[in-house]
Amino acid sequence: MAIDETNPRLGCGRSIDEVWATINQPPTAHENGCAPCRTARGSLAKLAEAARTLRDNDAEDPSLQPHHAVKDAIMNLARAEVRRGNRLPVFQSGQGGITISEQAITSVIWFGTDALPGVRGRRCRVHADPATADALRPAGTAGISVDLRIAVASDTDIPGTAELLRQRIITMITGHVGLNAGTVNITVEDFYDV
Amino acid sequence: MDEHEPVALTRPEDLDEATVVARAQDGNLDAFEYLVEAYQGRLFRLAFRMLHDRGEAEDVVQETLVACWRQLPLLINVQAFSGWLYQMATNRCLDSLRRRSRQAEVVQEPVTLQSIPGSFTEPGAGGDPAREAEISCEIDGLTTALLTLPPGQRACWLLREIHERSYAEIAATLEISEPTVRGRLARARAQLAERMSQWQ
Repeated sequence: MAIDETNPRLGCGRSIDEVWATINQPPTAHENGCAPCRTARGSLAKLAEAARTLRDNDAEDPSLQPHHAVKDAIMNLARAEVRRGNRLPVFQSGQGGITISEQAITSVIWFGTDALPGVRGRRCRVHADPATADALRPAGTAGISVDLRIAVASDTDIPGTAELLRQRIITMITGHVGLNAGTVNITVEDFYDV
Repeated sequence: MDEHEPVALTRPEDLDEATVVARAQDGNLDAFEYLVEAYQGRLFRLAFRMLHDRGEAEDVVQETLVACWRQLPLLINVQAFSGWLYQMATNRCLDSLRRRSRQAEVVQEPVTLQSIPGSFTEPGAGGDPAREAEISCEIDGLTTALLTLPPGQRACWLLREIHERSYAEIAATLEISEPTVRGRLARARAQLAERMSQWQ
């Protein structure tokens, strides 16, 4: 692919790249006096202008969008292949049990994070407590553990906020889902505003 | 705090993109739909300018975003999301062009978009017919010249000039070195500038 690496050069020895790099600045003394540079500047300036026109025009052009059937097909497939994660036992009796999807619990957890200023809930894993996973259980006593990653605003008091979030998640999971979140591990992975 | 208040998540448009991507990774359909809305136009424009065929460009968008849904959980760095999407779409475009050249197909007439009723590019010139004609001519000249570039150069030029990706992102997208990106861009610019001046 050596040919791809070659940077085209003008008669005066300068590369197209060098001319391009200063296309938005006034011509240098060399460029004023050099015919190949003047020609190259002229045609590259026209190209830059045409590229700007194309970029602005294409971005605004309603015909340069895929037909809505494309999005419908994508979303239909995503719904058909929806990922709900693990199913976690909420309640187990001799007559049957109730399970809840990891995704439903995750939604409750995100709801809890969204209500705290400066916190954004990201990826979340929920595991059934191995001690309670298969045993007969009355409602409200099965245990789960949560691994949640969050992003925070850069001015957040991280330890205080994370502890508040942990307590909020425990309360909400008990209230909404009827499970005991015995362990809530929170990882601050990013500042979302930096 | 009411423990039984209805669970209503913050809308994706009020979140940062990395958080929306993370939620789509965990199977949230609203988050994924938001990403489809945000990217389908950009990916379509890239594919259309690469392939100059509306149907093929729509196929690229659909295949890319379906693959995105399926492979999203495997994406490790949410910040890399847009580069990853552009990479999948660009590779599909290059595959389409390779298939075409294997089939030794005839040169594409650059009119497929205009031939669709109501889809003619309407230049935004504020109702000045002379300026509209000028813009339309400028765009036609450039897009026709673009189709004469080798696919690798065309992809580099579109990713840089139309989609404003960095050299490093383009190098990662095309799995080539940054000096190769610079070389291809320089050649693409030289060739486009030359073609356009020939037609004026």
